[in-house]
Amino acid sequence: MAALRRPLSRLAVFLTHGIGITISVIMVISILLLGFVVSNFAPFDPRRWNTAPKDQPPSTDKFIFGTTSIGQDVFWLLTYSIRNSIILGVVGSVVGLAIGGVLGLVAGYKGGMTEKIILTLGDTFIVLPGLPMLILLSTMVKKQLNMFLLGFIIAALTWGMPVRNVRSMVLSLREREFTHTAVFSGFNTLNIIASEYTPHILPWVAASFISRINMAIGMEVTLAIFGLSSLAEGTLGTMIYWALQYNAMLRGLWWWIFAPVGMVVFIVLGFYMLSGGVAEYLNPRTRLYRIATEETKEIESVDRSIE
Amino acid sequence: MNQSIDRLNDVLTTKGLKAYYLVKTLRGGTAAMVHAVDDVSITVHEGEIMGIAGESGCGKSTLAKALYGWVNPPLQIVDGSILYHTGNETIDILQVDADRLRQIWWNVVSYIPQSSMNVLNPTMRIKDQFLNVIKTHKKDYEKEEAEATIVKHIDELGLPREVTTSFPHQLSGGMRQRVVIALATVLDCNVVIADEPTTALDVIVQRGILQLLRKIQRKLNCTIVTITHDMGVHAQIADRVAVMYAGKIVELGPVQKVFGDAQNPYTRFLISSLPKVGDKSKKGSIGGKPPSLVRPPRGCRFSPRCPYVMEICRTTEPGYEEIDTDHFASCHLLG
Amino acid sequence: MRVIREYVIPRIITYVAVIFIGITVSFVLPRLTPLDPVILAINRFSEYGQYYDPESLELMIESMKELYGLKGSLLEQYVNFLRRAITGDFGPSLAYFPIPATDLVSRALPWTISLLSLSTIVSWLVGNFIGGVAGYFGGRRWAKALSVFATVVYPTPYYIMALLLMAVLTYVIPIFPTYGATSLDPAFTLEFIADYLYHATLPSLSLVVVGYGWWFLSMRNIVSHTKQEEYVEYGQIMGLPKRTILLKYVIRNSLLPQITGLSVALGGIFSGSMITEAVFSYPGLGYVLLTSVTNGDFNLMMAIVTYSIIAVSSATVLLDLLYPLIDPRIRYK
Repeated sequence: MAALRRPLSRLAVFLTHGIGITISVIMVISILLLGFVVSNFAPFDPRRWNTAPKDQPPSTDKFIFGTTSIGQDVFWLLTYSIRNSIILGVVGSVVGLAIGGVLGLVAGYKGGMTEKIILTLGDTFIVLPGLPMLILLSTMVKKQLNMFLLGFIIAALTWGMPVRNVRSMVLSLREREFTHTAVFSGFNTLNIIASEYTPHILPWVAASFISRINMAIGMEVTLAIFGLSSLAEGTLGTMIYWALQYNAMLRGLWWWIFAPVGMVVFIVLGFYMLSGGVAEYLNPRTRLYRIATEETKEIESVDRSIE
Repeated sequence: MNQSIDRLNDVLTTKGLKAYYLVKTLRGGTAAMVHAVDDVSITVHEGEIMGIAGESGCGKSTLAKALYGWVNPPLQIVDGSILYHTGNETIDILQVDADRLRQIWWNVVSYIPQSSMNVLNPTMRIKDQFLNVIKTHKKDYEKEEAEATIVKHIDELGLPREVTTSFPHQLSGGMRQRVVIALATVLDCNVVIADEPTTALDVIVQRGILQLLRKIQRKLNCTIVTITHDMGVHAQIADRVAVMYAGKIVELGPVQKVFGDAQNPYTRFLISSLPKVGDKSKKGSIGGKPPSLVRPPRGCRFSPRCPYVMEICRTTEPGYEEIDTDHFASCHLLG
Repeated sequence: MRVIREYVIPRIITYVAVIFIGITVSFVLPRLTPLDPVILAINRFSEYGQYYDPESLELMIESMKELYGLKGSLLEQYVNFLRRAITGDFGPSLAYFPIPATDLVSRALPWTISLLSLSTIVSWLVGNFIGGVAGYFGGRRWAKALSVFATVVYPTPYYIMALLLMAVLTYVIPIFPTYGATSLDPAFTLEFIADYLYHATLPSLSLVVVGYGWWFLSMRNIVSHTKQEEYVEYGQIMGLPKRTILLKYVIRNSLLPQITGLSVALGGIFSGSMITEAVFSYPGLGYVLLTSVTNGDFNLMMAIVTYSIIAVSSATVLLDLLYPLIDPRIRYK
């Protein structure tokens, strides 16, 4: 138990570091709970049509968020959609970050022609207007679209940005002392990258990972307006799509539209604040200050216990 | 360089000036006080070049800022007064409000900061930077008149006219330093405070800057206070020199006397570190480093390093006495 | 001058390379998928109740393949595609047969560009200016409030913002029209311009609000660094008025990196405006894209993708080439 105390206290410091972080952590945890825990308690598959009376407004006893025109319970559908959207977001974020990150590392470290080629390729994908490409691709694979495939497509279009960021980080790290030491010690390229650079790049990776989830979710929601998302799977985007198809707003079924729209805003806000908090927390400059204050507090508490 | 100094026309006087930095520790609690300027009383005569010498960290840069009135937290004036004597009145700049202070700036006293290479706005032409300053500090501002003033001033100081239409990055470091000096003196200047005007410049450029400073003194009748650790600079242009150590003035006097017959051991050490032509004696250095300004040593602050240290030096601070006409020093060895 | 040539030529080479690679990628990727646009189209026709006997079906498939440029080997298709693309020939649109896809795109392009330029310039100026002032006056309450607003708005997807604005300003408080760009014929009359602005308000508002978040936050960040520069402190030492320091020292120098930032953000802004157009049925490229998707119009989609790539790359390279003229440190060497 004592061994856990240090990392746990570090976590506690992080969580209470600022009001922004606390709020965002609460938001993210509630989102994850809704999507991955609560959704399992749905009495039936929320996607199925006609499982509930249609067009019911929200009520406290039966349908908390009301029902849709196709006979679905909005609340349970929402939790299910959250889960899918998050999976999609994470896949898109991780895969794109992995591809871009690795290529950026290689570009930064190798330099020369390799670097130029990788950069030009990456820049092309940055400049490429993502939406038309995304739509083109989704149209083609429409029938077999699932969360993972969609995530991969998003990753394929967004790997360009991490390349530049990681490369510039590597460039500055390359010049520092410990690189030369490692080279002289006989480490090869891969080793250097893995063992020496990764710890410095990790903070940026963590923050970028979180903000990319937002981007992926946003892209999916955008696809949905074109009816191109996976209509079968059920995401927040498709919820909005169906609500629009049935003119929910004009017919006064505001809950059907506002539940997913509000949820999207809630998710992106929560994740955005979290990524900002993580970036600030891991910022090397404030980190030293914080470590110093932590250690001072520890020493003080030890002193006090000795008295 | 050897102007006759009219002792009755003092331009700037400080009495018992104490300027400390109040620093909060990492824990955000108790403050520490850095005694950067500790009870400094000096007088600057009209039209002279007064040098303030000392090692890094002795408090001279803080003194420069305080003299100008650029006092921002964590710097605080704890005690004392800073009096400027213009023709009509005497102003204690520590007592005036912010607006009045801004009026005083550039009309009574101007400031040349350290590392002047980087103090010019990169996206503004030099001419516009001049116009801004004139517009801010001159009551009836007219663009054409101001432009004429600028050109005349630039010519007077011997700077090429193309400088006015350039951007800062187009000028060399030395030229930028000259521009900043010109900026500081474009309005009728009385006192100019120059903080390390020649540091980071090579020796040849340095010479040009020093000549410029002397030209300002002569042609424009400016009083200049130069703050630098470089004793060579003081030797070349200063009329009087004040030596600072650990926040205190240990010696002040005409440059001939201070360099030729220093009364304070620290002064002697500083001067001996200057290479002289024909002097083949070994240059020794005193061990140790300047004391902490947070907890200065008891008694004389130089006592831990002084080769002539006596018992009394460690317990009592020496007084600041006038030992000769206009020559002050502080040391237990004296009288 | 030579320095400029060392900068201009490589940039233009990259420009051409990007367009070339982009078009190639958009050519290759769809052909990697198992779906065949011809089959798609045929299926669509069958849904409408058409029946084809085997012979006519064969003929139909052949002619469609030719229309879609799917005849021959991959290399033949590629060369064919490039050849036709250079002349702007993307074949006829399926949804608006036989109007050439290019025509549809060129009709929509001016609408998109006008909406896009207007919104981008406004959000860039407003966001940067307010962000700069807020960044300079850091701790004040109004600065913090503005920051919170920007923080909420920034991560919101363009689509969601468009929906929200539409819901609030056409439904809840019906002020603005829900669709279209104009009810009149295009002409340079005041009437037309007023009508256009009336219709374009919501879409551009949607773009401006989201864009504002991004520019505000990044400018505030830059300003907090610029504030600490030595020349800013010197300006204060000289006693210059706060307004001068804010405008001519801090903001002016902070805007320079924001111009570079604009050229990087253009791709995303372009996509965002397409979405917004689709939501508001504004007759720009986004709306045409929506149509092409709903109708499985492959030719039109390819045309839109190609022109999008060219448009964004061109705008980016234009901005990159203009930058040296604005930054005095590069312009005067």
